[in-house]
Amino acid sequence: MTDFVNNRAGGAQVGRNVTKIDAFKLARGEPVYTDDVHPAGMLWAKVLGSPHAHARILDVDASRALALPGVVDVAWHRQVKPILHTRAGQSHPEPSPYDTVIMPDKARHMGDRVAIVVAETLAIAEQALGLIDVKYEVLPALTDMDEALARTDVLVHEVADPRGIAEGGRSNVAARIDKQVGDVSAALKTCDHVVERTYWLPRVQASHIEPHVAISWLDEDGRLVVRTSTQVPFHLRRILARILELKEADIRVVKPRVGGGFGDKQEMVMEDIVALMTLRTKRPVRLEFTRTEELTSARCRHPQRIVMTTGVMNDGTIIANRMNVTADTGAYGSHALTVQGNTGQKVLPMYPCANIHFQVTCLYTNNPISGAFRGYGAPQGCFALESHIDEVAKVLGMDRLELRKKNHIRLGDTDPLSAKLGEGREGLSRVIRSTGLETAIEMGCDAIGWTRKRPPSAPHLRRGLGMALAMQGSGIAGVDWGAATVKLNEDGSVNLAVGATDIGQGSDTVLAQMCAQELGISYEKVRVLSSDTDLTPFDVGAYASSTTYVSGGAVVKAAQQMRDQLAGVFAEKWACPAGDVVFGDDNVSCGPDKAMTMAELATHALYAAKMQPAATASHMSNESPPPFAAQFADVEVDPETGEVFLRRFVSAVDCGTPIHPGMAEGQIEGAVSQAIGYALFEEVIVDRAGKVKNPNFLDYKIASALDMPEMVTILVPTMEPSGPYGVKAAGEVPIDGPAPAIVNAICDAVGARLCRIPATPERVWRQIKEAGE
Amino acid sequence: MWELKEYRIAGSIGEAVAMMRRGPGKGVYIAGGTDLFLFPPACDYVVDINHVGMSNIARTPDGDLFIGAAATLHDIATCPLVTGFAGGLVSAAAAHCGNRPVRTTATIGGNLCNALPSADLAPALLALDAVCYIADEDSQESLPLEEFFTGPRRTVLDGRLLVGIALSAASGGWRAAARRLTRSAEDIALVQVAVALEIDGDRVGAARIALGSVAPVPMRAMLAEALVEGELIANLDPDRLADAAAIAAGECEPIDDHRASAEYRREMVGVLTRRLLASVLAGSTDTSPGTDNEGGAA
Ligand SMILES: Cc1cc2nc3c(=O)[nH]c(=O)nc-3n(C[C@H](O)[C@H](O)[C@H](O)COP(=O)(O)OP(=O)(O)OC[C@H]3O[C@@H](n4cnc5c(N)ncnc54)[C@H](O)[C@@H]3O)c2cc1C
Repeated sequence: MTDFVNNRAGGAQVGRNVTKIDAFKLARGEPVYTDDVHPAGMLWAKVLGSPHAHARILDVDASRALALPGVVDVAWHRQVKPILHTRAGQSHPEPSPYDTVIMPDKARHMGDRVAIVVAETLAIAEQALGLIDVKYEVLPALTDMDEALARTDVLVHEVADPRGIAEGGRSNVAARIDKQVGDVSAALKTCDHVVERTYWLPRVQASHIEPHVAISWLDEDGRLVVRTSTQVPFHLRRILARILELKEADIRVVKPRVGGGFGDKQEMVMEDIVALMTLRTKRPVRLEFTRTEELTSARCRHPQRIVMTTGVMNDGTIIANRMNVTADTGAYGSHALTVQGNTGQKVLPMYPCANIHFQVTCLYTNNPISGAFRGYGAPQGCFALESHIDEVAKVLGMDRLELRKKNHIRLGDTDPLSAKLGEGREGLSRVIRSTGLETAIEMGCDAIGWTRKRPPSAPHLRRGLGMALAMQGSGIAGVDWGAATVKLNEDGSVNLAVGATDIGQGSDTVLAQMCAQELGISYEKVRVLSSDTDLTPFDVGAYASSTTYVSGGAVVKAAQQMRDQLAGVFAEKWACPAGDVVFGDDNVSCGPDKAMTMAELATHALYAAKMQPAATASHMSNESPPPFAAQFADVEVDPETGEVFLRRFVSAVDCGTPIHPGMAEGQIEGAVSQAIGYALFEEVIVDRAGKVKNPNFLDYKIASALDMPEMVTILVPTMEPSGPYGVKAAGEVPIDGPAPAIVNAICDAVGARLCRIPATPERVWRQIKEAGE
Repeated sequence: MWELKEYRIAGSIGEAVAMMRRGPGKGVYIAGGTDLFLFPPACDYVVDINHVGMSNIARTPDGDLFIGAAATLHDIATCPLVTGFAGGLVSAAAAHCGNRPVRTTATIGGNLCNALPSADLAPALLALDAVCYIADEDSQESLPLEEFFTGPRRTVLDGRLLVGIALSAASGGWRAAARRLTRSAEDIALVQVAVALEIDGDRVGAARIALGSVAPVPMRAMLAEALVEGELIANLDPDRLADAAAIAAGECEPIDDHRASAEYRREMVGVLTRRLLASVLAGSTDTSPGTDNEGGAA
C-alpha cells in the first residue's frame, strides 16, 4: 500500500486556485471539441431507431435509400458480424453482461439500432431514414419491472451471456445480489421497533451540454482513428478491437475537450457505429445524437424501488438494516450489477451495525437503457436510507440529527459491507482512516440554522429543514489504476502525458498542479496531454471518482522518479550527495553556493549529460477511502398548491485535501444543481408501450440558474493517508444527499412524506391531501 | 435545423401582408423567432416583421395603452408605461416568460399569434379587456382578444398581421394580480390565473378572471366573474370568494398530460382564483406571492 503522507516538495502548487488549464481556449470558443473539426470527405451518419419497444427485425430493404443521391452506405444486422459484448466502459473482464451486438436482430427499446445510414450531408442522411423499409415482428413490450420479473414467456434477451453472469435465456433478470452480514431476520425480532417503507426513484438523464458525438477515419497508415467525446478511451480501444476484429495496435482513440459526461460517456454509445461505417466506406464518418436521441437512446440513471427495513432500540441504536432493491436496467445490462451494487455498498455503511442485508434484483425491460450516471447507484440508495432515517426518528420520537449522530460511521470503523461486495466480485475490506463527517455535520447545521429555523416568508407558506448524510468512494479499490509519463524540456518545462480523462471536471489542471508540486516548478511550466491511446499511457478513465486520487498517485510517483533522476544529474555536476538536492521555485540547489535554475539543469541534462529526464509510473490503490458529505435544505412549501421553494442549500464536504479548492467547490455545486432536478422535477416519462413522452428540454426539465437556491458550500479538509497530498474524491458524493435532504425538509414543513421523487407540485399536493385524510 | 428557402424583409405593415399573400406556396411571419425555431414549420418563405414600425409602446392622448405587436417581452417588462398600468400586470407576465435572452427577442405578437393555451401574456391581457388590431393589405380591424384565439395554435388571422394590442385607459386603474404554476422556474405553465377588479368606492365594478393552460385556448371564467362583478366589497367574504373560485374551476376544461393531471389543474384554478381575488380586494397587487424563484424582470 502506498501512503502519500508528507510527500510535499517545495512551493505551493497544490491547494490553490490556479487558472484552469483549458479555461482560455474554452472561453474563446477555440475548436477544441470533437465536432469542431471535420476531416475532409467526411460522411454523416444517422441511426434508424426502432419504432417498437420490442420487435424482431426480420428484413431491411435499403434499396430506396441507397438510390437517393448522396447516400453512400446503409448497414443493418445481416451485414455485421454479431460478436457479443457489453457497451459499458469498464475494466476487463467487465462485470456487465455480454448481451449486446453492434447491430441487433431484435429491437429491445424504442430507438434501438435498426439500420445505420451514411451520406454526404446530414439532410440526405435524415431523408434516407424515411426510405428504409423494415419488416418487424412486433413482440409484447415489457415496460414494468414486476411484469418483467414474473414472465419467462417473453424474454428481452434470449441468448445467454457467454460468461454466465446474467440470466439471459432463462429469465429477465440482468443481475442479482444477495449479501448479508450477521442475521437480519433474527435480529429484527429482538428490536424495540421495526420500520419498513418503500421508496421509488425515477429514470433521469445526465443531460450533459455536449451530446454524444464521434468522428472516425483511417489515417495514412490505414489505422482506425476515433475522435470522440468519451470518458473511457482505453476501454473503447479494447472493445472496438474485439468487436471489429482489429488489433489494438491499429486503433487510436483520441479524446479532445469534452463538454460533460457524468457517466453517460462511460459507455460506447456510438463509437462502434462510426468505426464500422468508416471500415465499410473507407471514409471519415461522423455521428452526433440529437437531444431527443440522448433522452431515448443514451443512458439513464436506473429507476429503482427500494424497500428499507430497519430494526432499532428505544435509545436509537440501529441493530439491523435491510435494503431490498428492484431496478430497471432497460434494454441492455450496462452497469446493471455494479450500479445496483453501489446502491447498497456506498450507502449502507453510513450506519454500521452487526446485521446488514442487501438484496438486488435488476431486470431487463423494453425501456430506455440505464447505465452509469454520477453517483452510480448511490443517489438512489441515499434517498431511501436518508428518508428512512427520518422516518425511523419519527417512530422513535427522537431527534433526527441525534439519531444520525448516534449511529454514523466513525474514524477507525470498518465498513461492514466492503469485504463482501466489490466490483462484481468479493471486495477488499475498508477501514475509515480519515473522516471529517462530525465537523461537516456541525458546520452544516450552523450554516443552515438547524436550531433557528426561520419563519415562513409569507403567511400561506410553511417552512421546513431537512438533512442527509452521504459517503462514496475514491476509485474502485484494487481495480482502478492509471499511469502518467513526465518528460523534462530544456526550458525547464515539463510534458505530462496521462491516460486520465479530463471531461470538463478539470483533471488536467489538478494533475498539472501535482506534477509541478513534486518537481518544485510552477504550475504554468506543465503542459498536459491527456487521453490519446497512441501517445499517453493507460488509465481506466474518468469514473468512480477516481482521477485525482488514483491517477494523481501515478503523476506524483512519475514526478518523484524524474526528480530522483534530476537529483542524480545535479549531484554529479556539482559533486554533492544526491540526497541533499533540493527542488523548489523552479530552482535546484544543494546548499547556498550550488544552485541552478530548472531550465539550466534541463539544458545540462540534455546537452552535457546527454540523457532525457523522463519517467512513467503507474498507480493503483487497494483502498477506496470514502469522502463524506452532510447536506442541508431549507425549503418553503405552499400547502395548497404543492409548490416547493428551495431557499437555501448547504453542503459540507470532506473530500480530503482539496488540490484546487475552487474546482472542488464547483464539483459540489454542480452536483447539487443536478440533484435539485432529481429531487424536484426531472423524470424521463415512459408510457406502457415504451415510448418516451418528454424527449426534449421543453418537457424534460433540468434545473436552470433560476432554480438555484442560495448555495453554501463548505470544504472540510482531512488528510487521507492513502491519497496523494491526502486527497479523496469530490465528484460524486455531493449528488447523493440533496434529494433526501430536500424531501426531508418538505416533510418537516408540511408533514407529508414523499416516498417518490421528483417532488413535483402535484405529487406534493396529493401527498399533503393524503396525509391530511 | 430549419432550412429557410426565402427570407423576405418587410418595410411596412402593408408590404408585410402583401409579401405574405404573394406566394408561391406557404409563408409565415417571423418576429423574434423564439417560437418558430422551437418547432420550425414547413414553409416556402418567411416574412420578417421587425422593421415595419410595430415595436412601439405608447399612451394615446386619452390614456389608452398601445403595445405594438413587435415590442419585445423585455421592453414590456421594463417600460414604465406598462409597469405603471393596472399594477404592472402585463409587465409582470412578460417578466416571467422564459429567461432574459429569450425575452430580449421574443415579442408580444409572437406570444399571442403562436396561440398556445399556455401563452403567458394572454391571461393578463384578457383580464384587462385587451383589444387586438389586425391589418390586411389595405384594411384594419379590431376585435376583443377573447375572439382572437380559435383553438390550440389557431387564431382568426388567416394570413393577416397582428399590429398591436390596446388596453383602455379605464383598465389601467384596475387592481390586478396573477399567478402561474410551473414545475421548474423555466417551464410551460401548468396553470395560469389573472384577476383584475375595478374598485369603485365600496363596490367592485368590472371583474375579470382569466385562465391559461386549462382549456384549448386562454379563456375568461365569466360565470365566476358574474358572482363578483358589481358586488359590494363588504359582501365578498371568504365564502363568496370560495364560491366564485369553485365556479371558475368548473368553467375550465383542463386535460391530463405528463406535466400534470386535469384534476390538479382544475383544483389549482380554484385555489389561485380564491387567493388572487382575496389579495386584490385586500389591495395587494403582488403578482407572485412567495415565489421569488420565478425570476425578475431584470
Ligand atoms: C427557452 C424558451 C423559453 C420560453 N418560455 C416561455 C414562457 O415562459 N412563456 C411563454 O408564454 N412563452 C415562452 N416561450 C415561447 C416564446 O418565446 C414566446 O411565445 C414569444 O413571445 C414568441 O415571440 P416571438 O417574437 O419569438 O415569436 P415568433 O417565433 O417570431 O413567432 C411565433 C408565431 O407567431 C407568428 N407571428 C409572430 N408575430 C406575428 C404577428 N405580428 N402577426 C401575425 N403572426 C405573427 C409567427 O408566424 C409564428 O407562427 C419560450 C421560448 C423559449 C425558446
